[in-house]
This record gives sequence, structure tokens and C-alpha cells, in this order.
Amino acid sequence: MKLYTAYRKLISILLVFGMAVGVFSLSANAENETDENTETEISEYCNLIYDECATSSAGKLFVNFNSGRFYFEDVVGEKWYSNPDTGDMDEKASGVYRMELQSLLIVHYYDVENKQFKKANSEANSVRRSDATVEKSENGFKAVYSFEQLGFVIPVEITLTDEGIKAFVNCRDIKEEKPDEFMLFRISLLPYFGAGAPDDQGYIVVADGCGALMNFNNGKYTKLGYSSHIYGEDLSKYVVAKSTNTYAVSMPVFGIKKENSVVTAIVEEGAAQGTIWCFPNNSVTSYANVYTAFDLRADDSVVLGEDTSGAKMAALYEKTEIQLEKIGITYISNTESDADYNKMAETYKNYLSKRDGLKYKSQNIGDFALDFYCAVPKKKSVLGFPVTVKTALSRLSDINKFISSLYKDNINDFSITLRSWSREQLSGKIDYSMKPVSVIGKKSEIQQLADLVADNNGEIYLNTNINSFKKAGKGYNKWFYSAKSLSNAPIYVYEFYMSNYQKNKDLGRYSLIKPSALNKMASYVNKNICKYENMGLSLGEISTNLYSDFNKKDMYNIEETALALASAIEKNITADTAFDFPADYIIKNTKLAQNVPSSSSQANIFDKDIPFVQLVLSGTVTYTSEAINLAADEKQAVLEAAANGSALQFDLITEDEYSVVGTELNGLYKSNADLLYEEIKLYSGYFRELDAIIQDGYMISYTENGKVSESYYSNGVVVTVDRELKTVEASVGGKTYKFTL
Amino acid sequence: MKKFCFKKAVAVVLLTVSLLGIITVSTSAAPYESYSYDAWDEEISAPVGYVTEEVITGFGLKVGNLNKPTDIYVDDSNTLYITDTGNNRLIMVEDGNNKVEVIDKIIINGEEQPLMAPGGLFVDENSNIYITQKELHRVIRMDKKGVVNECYEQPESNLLDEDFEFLPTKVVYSTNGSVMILSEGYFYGALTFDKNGKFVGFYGSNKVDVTVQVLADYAWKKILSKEQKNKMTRYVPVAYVSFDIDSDNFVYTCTQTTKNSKNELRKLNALGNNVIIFYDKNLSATSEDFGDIKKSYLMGKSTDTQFVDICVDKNGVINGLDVSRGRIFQYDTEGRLLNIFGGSGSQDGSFVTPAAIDDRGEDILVLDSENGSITVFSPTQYTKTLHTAAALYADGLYREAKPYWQELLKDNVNCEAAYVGLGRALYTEGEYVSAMKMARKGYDRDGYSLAFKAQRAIVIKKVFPIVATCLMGVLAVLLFYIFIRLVIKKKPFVKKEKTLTPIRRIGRVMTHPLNEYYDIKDTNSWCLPATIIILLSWFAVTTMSKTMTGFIFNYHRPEDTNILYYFSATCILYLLFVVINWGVTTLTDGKGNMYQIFVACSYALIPYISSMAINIVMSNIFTADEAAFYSFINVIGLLWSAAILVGALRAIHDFSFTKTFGCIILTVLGILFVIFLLVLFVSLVQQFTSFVASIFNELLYRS
Repeated sequence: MKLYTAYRKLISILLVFGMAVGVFSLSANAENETDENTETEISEYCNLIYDECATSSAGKLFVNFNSGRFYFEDVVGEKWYSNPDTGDMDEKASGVYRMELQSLLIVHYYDVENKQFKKANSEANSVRRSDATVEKSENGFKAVYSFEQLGFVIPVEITLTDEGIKAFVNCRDIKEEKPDEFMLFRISLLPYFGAGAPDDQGYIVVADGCGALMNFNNGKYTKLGYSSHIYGEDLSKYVVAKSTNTYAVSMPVFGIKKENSVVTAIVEEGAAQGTIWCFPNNSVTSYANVYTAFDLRADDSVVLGEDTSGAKMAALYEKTEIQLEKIGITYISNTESDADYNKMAETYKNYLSKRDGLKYKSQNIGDFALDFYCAVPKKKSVLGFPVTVKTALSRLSDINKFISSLYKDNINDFSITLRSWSREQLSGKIDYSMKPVSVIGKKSEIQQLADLVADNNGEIYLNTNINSFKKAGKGYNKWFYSAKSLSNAPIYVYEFYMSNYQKNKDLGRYSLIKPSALNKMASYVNKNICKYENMGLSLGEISTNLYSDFNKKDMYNIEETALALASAIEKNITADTAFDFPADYIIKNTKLAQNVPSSSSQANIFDKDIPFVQLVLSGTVTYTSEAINLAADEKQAVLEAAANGSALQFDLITEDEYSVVGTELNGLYKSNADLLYEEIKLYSGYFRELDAIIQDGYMISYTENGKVSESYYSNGVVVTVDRELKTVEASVGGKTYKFTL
Repeated sequence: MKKFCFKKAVAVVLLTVSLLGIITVSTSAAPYESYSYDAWDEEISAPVGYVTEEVITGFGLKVGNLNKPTDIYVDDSNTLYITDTGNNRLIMVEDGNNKVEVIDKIIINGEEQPLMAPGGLFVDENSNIYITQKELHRVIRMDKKGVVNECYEQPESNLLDEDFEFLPTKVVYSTNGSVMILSEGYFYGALTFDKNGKFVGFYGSNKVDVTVQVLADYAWKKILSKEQKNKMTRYVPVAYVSFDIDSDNFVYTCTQTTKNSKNELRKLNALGNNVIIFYDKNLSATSEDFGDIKKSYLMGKSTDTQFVDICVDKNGVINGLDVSRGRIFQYDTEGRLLNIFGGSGSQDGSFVTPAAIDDRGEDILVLDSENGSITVFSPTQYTKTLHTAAALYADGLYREAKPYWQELLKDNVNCEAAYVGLGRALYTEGEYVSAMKMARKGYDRDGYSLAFKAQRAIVIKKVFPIVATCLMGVLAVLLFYIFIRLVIKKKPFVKKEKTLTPIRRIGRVMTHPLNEYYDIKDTNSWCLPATIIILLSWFAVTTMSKTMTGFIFNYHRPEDTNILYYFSATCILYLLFVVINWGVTTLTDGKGNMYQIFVACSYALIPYISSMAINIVMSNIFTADEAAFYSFINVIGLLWSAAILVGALRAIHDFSFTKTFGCIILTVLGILFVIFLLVLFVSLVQQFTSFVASIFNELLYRS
């Protein structure tokens, strides 16, 4: 009995002591809030103690040495938490989601025995089990999360730089101690960094298409989030059917505006392996969040006999060591009081300029682009036999005549791209000769065209591709030169029917060149293009069509393919290059960016399209809109181009427009150059006048109020576009130019 | 039918439109592929017809998220009504005066009740709101304040099955005062109530789809006893899933899917008959197939368009909503496809579970039940022009429609309707040659025929005097020659006896097949070279008939011409006939040998080949009105050939007529059997190849 009483007394004393410590801590916290120079803070709700661990010109970094949770305080005192400060109090989040709210990492792994993909988080599987260690490092800290049960050890390093916070994981240091049982597949890094609380006003920005904005808690489609693979989906993956029509995310960046603060997150390492996820109305927690999940290994599925009733799907997963070297994101806080998505774009643009040594130049909005589609395979019956013959859509002599008449009308500020023009291209082969298909004219006529354009200070590009082919030829065959999928079969890329989403096998299938051969291909193409004088090279949408290659001898993940592609172009291509909707890693090699979309993929969770990509490109490369003559609403497309600072683009043919009917290019339903001549003249005239006002400026910000937008340029020019009245007005210092469509 | 007193008890929420969650999408493109189908049922790109103007959500309307809404309706004043089924309420969004009202309680007989599970919706010209309540087995009619003034409940009638359960899902009101209600799963059509609320019968039930199985069972039922018949499957028509009504009281129905994938959309007149005349350009098997023509077959599952709702606008433009791929298919009054837009997915303008559709002026509204949102599509300039042109065309105002068609063609070279419209306009303007060119591009055979007829008359008028003069001249010369010979020189025309060469015998076969074949057989004067020439002529004429037959009568796609196929369909088929016939006649004691069959039967082809050749020429002269002559020549050729064939087989085998016919039937059956075996063999080879490919893939995957 005495013993029992003694225990009771001991417990009472401990309780009183505990309460005293608690009260002391709280009062200390209250004191700390008033003392800006203190080095330790205690979270009001979570009782987390944050210690200052690094300082730079960007701000200070505080960390909780138990969990690795941290916050960054910028120079104006705005705090960006790695995890919501009140996350463990979130009533909406239950169980695993509440744990995730407090995690720096969420991992997806494959349970080999149960043949299932599962997920775990650093809070529940490591911190709460006291398996996490956090140590101070130079300018930051290193948190090592041991997922004891799963055998994973993942080190996360957070450093404070002069730009902001850099979070990265060196994948070479990741340990998998039970590889026969569990294999790591994906890491979501800082999934709740800067998450918006239910009462917070703010938005998330992603570079989907031209760019899109999602308000926190916008009430739309609460069950759905948004996700998109950076630089597009991995083409090596098996696709049964394709039902969506989306743009790629061409820049590895996202941004968060919360109340008056803005942070820009740049995926610096492993971007091509990353998928951006956004949950503006998180249905499982109360917070709006955006993050990047990185694929460390690939998974895929194949369907055997997909057209038959006995179709069977088999899941595949990569079993090799993790190939990726590093994943990392830099978060840069903007300290200006009026910072918004324009600031995010500026931040990213500055980052790109620094990384790639880009130089600012004026945006030539008046330099429009004319894309001529030269020929197309067409089914015909010759002597009673069904054959596919190459039919001319634009003969070189006619193109010559057409642009000569433009020059005669004093319109000479345009570039030309010839598409679907070469003999091999039309046969689906590697473009080993880069000679025109005979129905459009001779090689000498191309040179004449190039000379004519050069004489008028224009640019001309020949479109080709260096990463795909349909048919073998000149030593390039599918077995030795094509990339392989995870199933070890050559990757085949199909076109899909618009109506039933199935593969259009009539059009044939493309094989993809293995990344290790890209260098050779680029050198080959360059050698051929250099046979022409004054000729540029257009490589289409190659930068957002990436793929892994699982050739056993020479494996490439998408990140490595992107690097191989960039390197192949950098090292080999000496001609001027044009790309369609170029990804960020290729911008430094881009002279002309074509087909830059004026809209996002229009996910229904988006609130607004913003010209984020154009804000980044403006002043860096000349960029054009998508073909306005094929837009749903041509006038609207012209207005959007004016608002986005895009030069115009027209997709043309010089033959009778009826020649596209019944061909695979029937999408050029409004492309007759002669019929569009007056339109080209009119619109180019408008944009030339706009250009004369904008001169050497580049777009620095964009605002939209209802149907009226204003684009601000570096030299003070303001371009106002009213979509209701269909007017465009550019003004600077009392000088004004206005046109109405 | 009970009537109720009117009392009000409404929960009304008024909000200004500035609070509406309408999201304006500033876009120049749509996130879905825009396409159409050409005359050959191939998909072709088309300009975007509709773009997403706004997306209306409950959150945006400040009334909380919608929960499994079922139906929408837009009345004449552009007020949008939404039955928010999961939340047991009706939401009214006024377009003009910018307010939102919510009715979640109704007054029935002075008693306030919650508005339970509202479903289908209709609003009449007096602003009476009709709401179906499936769970309560009734349809209520109420005013805008929720006071119920009529209630339609399960009718009692001998017309109804004993086990009939009233499960109303959709309702429409006709301006003659009657109310039509669709009951879930009931296939006899809409239950019709008169203006006094009395059940008067059914309206416009679907018909049983005619399939091979149905025809076979029909034939069996003719033979079987009553008991046996009763044990067989009973075929019932497919029930409608939704309907709409226009100002002229034509009822437009939609069926989710039919067995033969046809007539999913119908326009019913007062008698309940379908009056949509589906205009098919190439006599394809997909005629009357609404929705996507191309079906998908993936992972062992076939997917076709499944209509869930239909709406018709003031100009008679029909919009069908497809739940399987979230698309809207738009047709004109004659069933011509105008637009396809929308899609499935999570982008603006695409849906998860599209449930209802209605129009608001030019705009189309689509309710997504799963997302709880209403997407407002507005037409692009292209569609506005298309609608104007189509309306003028439907009214026969071809000239007035011409500038619109020209505009459309400038915007979309794939637009076949524009070629048709322009062809008609040019015809009315007397530009027949241009009209023919346009009609040809639009595969408008009737329009081409009209223009051709007019142009032919002009040509005949122009050349007739010259031709007639020439003929008269030739006749005069001939008569002069006869006169000189008979009268002046006195040399009469004496018919010389000629020897019967094999060729001459073939000529006699045409008129006296039986006798001549016996003679040929007796004298053994068969002519093998003639047979080879005949067979090659058959092959050549068949090929020519595909490529040179006039446009009006030619339904063949030029680029599909494949002479190997025609060779198989003529010469190879003939060889097969010879071999099978020899086999059959060997078993039936026929006396002819294979050589005789091979040669003799070929002579029989001459009339048929000749009729084909004549028709190739005549098809370029005849118009559609003269199609009967074209068919007549064909039939004559066929019958003549058949008669010679019978003669040939009878003579060479020395059969009676009956035996000859029997032998022909057996030969035909034998040919069919061999073809069946060939198909089986090809299929087997394909499966084997597929099997080998699968093993190869499997080995690859496992390596």
C-alpha cells in the first residue's frame, strides 16, 4: 500500500513538473514571438522546436531536429513551412493522411510478395519509430529516414542558398536493405511544402500548356487532383487507347502564392522523372498542396492480344538498381509585396538565364511563321492496284511564287518551315539524304528558296526528326536502333483514332531511336542540312516526346534521354534550330519556338490560363502561336497571340485545298495559301505595327480582368486586349496603336 | 388522378450573379479532338464546333455542391432548372435577372413535404414544373413556388401489364395539353395522360431490331406449336431512355443502344412513326447509325455510343448525349451529322458521367452527374454559319444559303455538306457543270443527277441538229445505194450459205442455246480460245464497271480498286464453279467432262458481260430518274445468261430440266461450302500467326 502511495506521489510530481515545463515552454514561445533574434522557436500547436540552422542572403532556415520538418523565413519575415504547422490537428485528415501531412517524404514501393504497389511516409514509418536522424550540415541539414520495416534508408538534404531552399535526395545514397521484398519506385519530395490552409487565400501555378492557375479551395471537383508528367508521358509505356488531348508541362516549375507570399519551386534535378501533382481542394486533408513525385524505377503493363476476347494484361516493373542520380527542388521565395505568377515566371526566367547563359533580346512579335506542308501519302488505284503515292501539297516553285508575292507587298518579316517534305520522311525512314520528294521539286529549288529568304533577311527551316522511324533503311533497322520498352520489346508509337481512341494501325507504327544513337543521328542530320546554305533545322516537338530505353546493354531513363538529346543537339547541330513547344532544357539551342500554345490543357480543376511559358520565353527566343488559321476561333486566336506576345503562325499548302481530303493531313482543312493571302497580309500588318511600338521590349507581366488583359513590357509598353470588343491597343509614352478585328 | 390545393411553402435562396461560380474559359481551342465522318464512314478532322463557355457548379452558385443531379431544363426565359437529386432539391438559375432559387419543399394538399429525389424535369409555357419522382412512383406538376397542382400516379388500365410498376424517369408536355411520361424499363413507349390527367394510352414504342437471330426465330415460330413457341425467347423492343418535344409537338426519342446500332435517335410524328429520313450517301451498312460509326473493341469489350439524353432546339437541330465517351452528336432535321464535340475525362468540355442535355439559345448545356457540374458550350463562328446554311438548305433556299456554304468551305475543306449545298445552289443558278463537280465532291448523287440531266438536255439540244443531219445523210446514201443496186443494176441481195465456224456457233448459242449446245457437243466444236477471251472480258468489264460506271450509279470507292480481288471474283470463281459442278455431276451421272463444262458455261456469260458493258456506257448517260432502265438491262443480261447456262449444263450432261436445276443448286451450295472452308482456313492461319506472335512476345517479356 505504501508502495502504491509512493507511486502516486511520484506520478503527481512528474505531472506537475511536466505541466510546469509545458507552461514554461509556452511562455518561452510567447517571448520568442516578440524576440526576432532568438534562435529557437516552438510551434504553437505542435510543440515542435525549430532550431535555426542556416542563414543566407535569402533568409533563415529553421529545423526540428527530431523530424526534419523545417521552415524557411525569408528576408521580409514570411515563413514557408515544409509541412503545415497545424497538420497534426487537421480533423479532416485521418490516419495515414495525417501522417503524410507531417512527412517530408512519401514513398511508393512495390511489395514483391503481394505483388502490389503500396505507399509509406517518413513520419509514420520513420520519425514516429525513432528511426530518423537529423544532422546539421553546411548551410542546412541532412535528415536520414530509415523505413526499418521496408528496409529503405533515404537521406534528404536541405540547404539554404542565396536564392532559397534547396531540397534534394542523392539517389546513390538510398539504401534498399530488403530488395527481394520491397522495391522503391517513387519518392514524393516535400509533399506539403507551403500547403494552403482552408482559410488561406492563394493559388497554385503550373506550366501546363501556356500555364494554368488553380485557386486554393476553388470548390471544383474535390475528388480530383491534377497531375502531369514533366516533359510529357514516357513514350516507352504501353498504351492501349488514348482518350485525352493534353499539352505537356514544358517547364519543371510550379509556384504557390499564399496570402501575400510567393514561392517558386524549380525541379532542378531529375525533372524528366518527375510528375507534378496538385490538390487545390484536397479531399483527404484540409490543405491545398502541390509537389513533385519522382519515379526512381519504371513500371509498365502490357496487353497480350488486346484486340481479342482473350486479352490479358500483365504488370511489369523495373528490377534493376536505381539509375537516377539525384532528385532535387529549389524553392525561391519572392519578397516583393505584390508578387504573383508574373514574379514566378521572372524567377524561373532568371534561373534559366543563369543556368544556360541566355541573353535577353527583344521579342519580335511581328516575325510571323509560315509552315508549308509539302506532300502527303495518298491511297490511289494505279492500273487497278491500290497503291500509296506521294502527292504534292505545296510544290517548291509555288512556295517560291507565294513568298515572292509577299516580298513584293513589302512583307518580309517572316520565317518559313517546310514540313513533310523529304523523300525518306514520307516513306517513314530515317532522313538520311534530306532530299525533297520528287513531286514537290528538286533539291536545287530548296536552295533557291533558301537564297530568296536569306536575301530578304528571313529564316528558313527544314523539318525532320531524329528520334523515330517507321521503316528500316540504310543500315537502320528496328532491332539494333530502336529503343526497347520495359517488356523488352521494341517501343512502338501509334497514332490513335479520334472517335474510338483505338490505335490506328493503318497508319503504321513508329519505332523510337535508342537514346545512345541520338548523337549519331544529330550528327548525320547536321551533315545533311549543312549541304544547304542559309538553312535552319526544325526538330518539331522532340523535346516533349521523351522515352526510356530498357535495352539491356545500354539502359536510359527519361532523364538520361533528355540529357542525351540536349547533348546531341548541343554538340552536333550547327544550323539554326527551331522546335515546336520546346521544353526548358532545349531553349538555349532554340532560335525559333513554334506552336507555343495559347491555352493550357484545360483541366477542369484549373481556374484560369496564364501565359506563364510566354512570360519565360519572352526576351529569350522568338516564339509563335499555334497555327491561327486552324484555331477554333481565328480572331480569338489572334487576340490571344497579341496578349501573349506571340508571333503568328500559319499552316499552309499551295495546292488546291481539296488535295488534303482523304489523306492523313486532312486536319489542314483551312490551309490554302492563296485563300489565306489577304488574311496573312492583314494580320501581319497589325502585328508589324505592334512590333514597331514594342520594339526592343519583352513581356514582363500579364494581368487579366474579365475579358480584358494587359501585357506589360520591359520598356513600358502596355498591350491591352479586349476579347469582348476584339480590340488590341499598344501604348507607350503617348504613342498608341490600336486595331480591331 | 388526384388534384391538390395550392399553398406555398418554399425555401428560396436569392443570390446575385456576381456570386455565381461561373468560370470563363479564355480559349481558342478545345481539349477534345474535333472530327466528323465522311461519306465513306471514315473519321475526318473538322473545325471545333463548340467551345466551353462556362462551367456552373453548386459551389459557384453558393448553394453547396450538387449531389448526383439527374436532369436539367432551360425554359423560354432562359431560366436553368436543375434537379439536384442527391440533395432532394430543385435549383432555378435565372439568366435574365441573375438570381438563384432553391426549392426543397413542396406543398401537396396544403401539406408541406420535402421534395424527395426529384428526377426528370420539364417546364411548360405556363411555367408549370413537371418533376418525376421515381421512388415515389409519381410525377408532380407544381408552380415556381413549389405548390403542386397535379400529380400523375400509377394509372389503372387494362392496357398495362399486371406487374407494371410506374417508375417515371422523364416527362414532356405537349402543347395540346397531354403529358407523356417514360417509365423505367417499360418498352411500350411513353405513357400518355390527357389534359385532365387521365391515362389515355401509349405513344411511339420502339420496334424490335431485326437481326439474323430474330429472323431465324421468326421462321421457327411459323413451324412450331404454341407450347414450343411460348418456350422460345420473346423479343421486345428496346425502351427509350429519354425524350424531348419541339414546338410542333414532334417527339424526339433516344435509345441507349440498339442491337443493330441503328435508329438510336428518332423523330416521331403524331402517329408515333419515325420521320427522320437518314440520308445515306454510299448505301453503306452504317445507314441510320447515329453516334460514332467506328466502334471500339478493346480488352475483349466492345463499346458503342450509348445515348442518355436528347434535346432539340428551335431550328430542329437534334443533339444526342453519349454517356460512353461523353460526346454530343448534333444532327440536322434530315439526320445529317453537323458536329461532334465533348469527350470523357477531366478537362473542360469533357465529362465523367454525362446525364442530361438541353439548349439555351445557341448554347448547349450538359449536366455531369458525377462531377455535379453543368458545362455550357457556345458555338464557334463555324457552327453558327453551318446552322444558318443548314436551316436555309432545309427550307429549299439554296441560293440564299450559297454564301454561307462558301464561307464554310473556306473554313473546312472536309465539309461535305457544303459541297452538297453549293452544288444545289449552282444548279438553281444554271451552273450545271460546276454543280456536278460540287455534288460529286459532296457525294450527292441526287444533286448530281439533277445537274447532269439539265446539262445533258443542253448538250442534246446543241448536238442534235448535227447528229440528226448526219444520220439523215447516211440514210440517204444507203437508200441511194439500194436504189442503184436493185433498180439500176438489178442485182438482188442473196443470202449466202455460210459455214458454221466455232465463233458463229457461239453466236447461235445466244438465241438457240439448247439445240446449239447439242450440235456443238455432237461435233465436238468447242472453242477454248473463245472461253479464255470471254473470261478475260468478264474480268476486264468487272474492273471497268468499278472505275468507269457513271457517278450516279457507282458506289465504289475509286482508291479501293484492286484487280486481284476482281480477278478472284470472276475467273477464280468461275474455275471453282467448273470444278464443283464437275464433282457434282460426276456423282449424279452427268456425261460432260471438265473441259466441256469449262468451255460451255463460259458462253453463257456473254449476255451478262454485254449487259455490264452496256450499263457502263449507259450509266454515263442515264440520270437517277432512269435508274429503272439501268436495272432492266442488268436483269435482262442476268436472266439471259442463266437461261443459256441451264441449256449448256442440260446439253453437256444430258440431264432433264429438273436434274439440271438440282445440279445447279448443289453446285452453288458446294461453292459456298468451299468458300466457307477457305475463310476457315484463313482464319486459322491468322490465329496461328497471332499465337506465334503471342509466344514470341511472351518469350521477349520473360527473357
